[in-house]
Amino acid sequence: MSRAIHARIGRRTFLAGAAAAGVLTQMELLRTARMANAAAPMRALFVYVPDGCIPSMWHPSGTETNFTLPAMTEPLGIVKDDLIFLKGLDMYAGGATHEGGIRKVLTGVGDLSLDVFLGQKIQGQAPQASVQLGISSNFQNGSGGFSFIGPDQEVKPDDNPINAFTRLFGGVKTGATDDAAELLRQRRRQSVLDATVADLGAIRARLGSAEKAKLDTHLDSIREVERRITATGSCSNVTWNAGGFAVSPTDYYPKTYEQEEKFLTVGNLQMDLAVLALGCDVTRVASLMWSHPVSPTHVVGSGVATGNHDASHYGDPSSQNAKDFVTLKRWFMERFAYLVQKLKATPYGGGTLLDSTVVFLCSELGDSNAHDHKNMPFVLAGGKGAGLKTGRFLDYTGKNAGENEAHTKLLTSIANLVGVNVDRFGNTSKGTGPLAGLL
Amino acid sequence: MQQRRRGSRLTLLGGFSLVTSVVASACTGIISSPNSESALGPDAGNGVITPSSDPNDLVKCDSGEQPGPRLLRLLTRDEYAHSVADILGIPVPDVDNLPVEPRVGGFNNNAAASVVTSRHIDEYIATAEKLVATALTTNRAAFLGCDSALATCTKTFVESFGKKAFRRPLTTEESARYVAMFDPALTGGTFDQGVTLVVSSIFASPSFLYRVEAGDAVGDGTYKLSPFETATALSYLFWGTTPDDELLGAASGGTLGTPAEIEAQARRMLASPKSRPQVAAFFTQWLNTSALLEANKDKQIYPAFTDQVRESLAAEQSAFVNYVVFDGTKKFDELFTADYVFANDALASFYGLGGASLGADVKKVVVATDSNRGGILTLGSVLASHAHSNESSPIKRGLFVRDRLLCQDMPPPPANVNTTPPGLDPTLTTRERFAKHTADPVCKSCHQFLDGVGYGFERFDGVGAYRMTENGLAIDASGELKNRESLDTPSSDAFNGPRELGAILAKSERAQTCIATQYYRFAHGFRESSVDVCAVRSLASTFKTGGTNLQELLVEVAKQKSFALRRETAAGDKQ
Repeated sequence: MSRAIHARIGRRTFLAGAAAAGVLTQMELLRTARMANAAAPMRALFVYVPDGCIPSMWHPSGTETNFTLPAMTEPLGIVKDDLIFLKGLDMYAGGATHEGGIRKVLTGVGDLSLDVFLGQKIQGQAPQASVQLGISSNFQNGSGGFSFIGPDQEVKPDDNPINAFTRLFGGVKTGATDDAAELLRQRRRQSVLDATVADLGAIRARLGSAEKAKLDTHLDSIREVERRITATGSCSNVTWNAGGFAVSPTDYYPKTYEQEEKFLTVGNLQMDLAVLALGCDVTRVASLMWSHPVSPTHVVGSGVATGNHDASHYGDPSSQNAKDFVTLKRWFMERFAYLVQKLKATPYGGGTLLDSTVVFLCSELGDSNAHDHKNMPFVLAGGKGAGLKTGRFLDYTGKNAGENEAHTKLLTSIANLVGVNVDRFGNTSKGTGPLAGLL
Repeated sequence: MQQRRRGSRLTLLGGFSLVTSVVASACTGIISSPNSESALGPDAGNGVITPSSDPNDLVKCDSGEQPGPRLLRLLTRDEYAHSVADILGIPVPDVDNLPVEPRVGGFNNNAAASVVTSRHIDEYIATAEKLVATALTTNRAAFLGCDSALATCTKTFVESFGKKAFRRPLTTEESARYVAMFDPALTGGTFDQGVTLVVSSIFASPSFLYRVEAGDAVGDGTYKLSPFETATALSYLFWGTTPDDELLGAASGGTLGTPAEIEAQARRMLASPKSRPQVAAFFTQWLNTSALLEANKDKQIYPAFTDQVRESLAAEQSAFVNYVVFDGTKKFDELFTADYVFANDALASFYGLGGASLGADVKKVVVATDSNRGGILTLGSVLASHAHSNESSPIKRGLFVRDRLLCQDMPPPPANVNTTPPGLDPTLTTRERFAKHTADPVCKSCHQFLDGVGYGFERFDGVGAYRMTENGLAIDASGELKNRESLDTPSSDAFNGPRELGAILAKSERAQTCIATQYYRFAHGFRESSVDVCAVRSLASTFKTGGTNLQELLVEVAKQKSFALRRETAAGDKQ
């Protein structure tokens, strides 16, 4: 069966030597003309920081448009106008504490997480349905992550920024890059995938209905890779990793990108990569996990000697532990502010990439002492292109028949904002529909 | 490498209204299924929880052991790396770029949890391209197996390589499909390019990536694993890699069908030194010591815990468990009551052993009868893996004993309980700091089963080194193991220190059943559903009546009905 190979060919030019050595260094960015889109399609970015918060030091006080930020969120002040602070949202149903929280924050206790779900819906012409990146998110992680492609089937983030970049922005290209060579590359890749599809069919025939769901997921994955043969995103050259960070293959415990001294470096690389992937239409949905629940991370450069999880059991809010936890959270909020600013500084579709991106900042716990899922530390950013009205503090305490509003409505709203018109996402024990008041 | 860390440090500040209703049947809060409703529902925070027995314990086995489920088991990264190395005749490659496996109950080979995402496929293809380049450069003649100038070489190569990779002969269609990749329109006329396409496809093919355990229909609704599927299952179980020529020969020669034939191969493989890394891998995953090498430990508090010590502790654990299984009595109790350690110079110093120089490699060292070392519970690897970066952890150690060694699931801390831990206090020992766990009824309901056990380990610090005092204070290492055989059945075992606890566990039927259960899970790649419980029980029973011989346990799982025989998997059957 012959397949028509699309004539539109993405061009990727890379420093062959550097790429061949597996260590990608500096690339110059020349942004090419963007793919024509009448209205810039919305994208979504999910950012996780570990272990909850001290609610009194996280949630703003004041009115909807005139509010002050306490110690933990104070570093977000510089991007305040681009944010919506959300108070009074609870995560209902599902399991408890760290493991239960991370399992439900993006799924609402459903089988798919919102990033994976939206990626499948709004992929369009982008080569990747969704991209999951991490900063030591798998390192010593006994609690799990927040992305799911099926029931208890996690999508583990890629914690190696070099590896992720190679996958997202292409590989080695040596020799001529004329059309004939590119067409041949595409034909070869297609033949490889065709063979795997045929083999999958043979296995399916042998198994009957057993393991059907697993085979369906596998086939979907092959189809997604197939689309990537010709879908390339809209950037021809990118600048990334100006600092020349490299992963040493001999670093064994921990790996280079898991070393605590590299946490900030890797974090910056992954944030930059997420912005690039979204801005270059490599994907419309990305997620970023900073460490993971029960985070062992000692944040080098924060001035705090305690690990994040140890500090998160803050005890009395005036204790040293609480002070340390505040310092650590501020560190993470500085990173989030950087991310928002980076999105804002990236032109896209006549406005900024931030306008076209709904960003959701979350954690798996509410009050870290209580290990609860109440009054979650959630923040939205960007999304003006979809009508998100930022620069506000919204309080949903008691708004659902006297109880806090359900976070599943927020998940529903995020879906709606990126053009997916569902009236529910995850469990509906506390009602359906989007969150009121966001637009 | 991942370590499961429990953040469950509980203490109580302020008043709680004590709701004393107990939900008897649901308190199993299985840690491996965090999405299940917690025992008392999502908002029940203030109740006294009573952890109770596993519902699977209630299953009746009148019909005996049932066939196992039909499964597709994705190769783990280790299995992938060893398979490609053996198939291509190259060194075991670094496969760090492949996605991390999820872990279920500590095991990284859970079939239900492992799905192929698009990223997987990208990585498989990229990796295969690198591997074939290596094979063509470093091992060309053996890898190709024929003269590329000959026209027949394409088919010869495809069929011989394909058979090794798919662990069975290719079908006619498969052979034709892969030979077609040598089409000059695709290869540009280069033989090597054709080889690259074939290898990229085959190493990204589900027929390579999955260990297929589907079976051929027997006619009564069950399926019998084909000889090649059986060879595959045996090979990955015992050697963690693709079947060798002898296994493939037995499969094609029709001598891998009967239980006796399967047993013969199992014993052959077990007798080879190639089986030792797999045994070590089982113990590492079961005992949750995978993260030992990467665990953050406070260098100021534990300056003696160097990288050399870490590596040595990992080597000790492997050497120890392999010694017990292969060279010692092979009995379960020796795991706990061994009167020796494996040490090198670094560990002799770390463990405070005297004696002659041992060198760099670990060796068996008999210890004094009153030594504080000997057995799993005193391995530095175990003690350090179940602790914090800056202190010991009675809770982690208690949980380790309950969850891993006794297969008793403990529910997570209830929602809405203030879980602030007692801060490090230089005037108190750890035991004193955690006293509230047993003073407060809400905490005590679970912690009575954990802390009492963990306190018995307190003479071993956060990196597994022995200490007589903590903060200059005497350490009370008395412990209590409550309800040992069943969380529903009151009992109390007092002990002092882990060696005494080990002696208790060595004789515990629950512990003996548990190791069999855990091995079943590792061997089969799933957590048993109610349908599989009887197979697990049967394995445990054979293990116990046969004198708890560990080698026999390893062989028995391959002899069981559920190994070679499979049932149709219903839509709702979650493995």
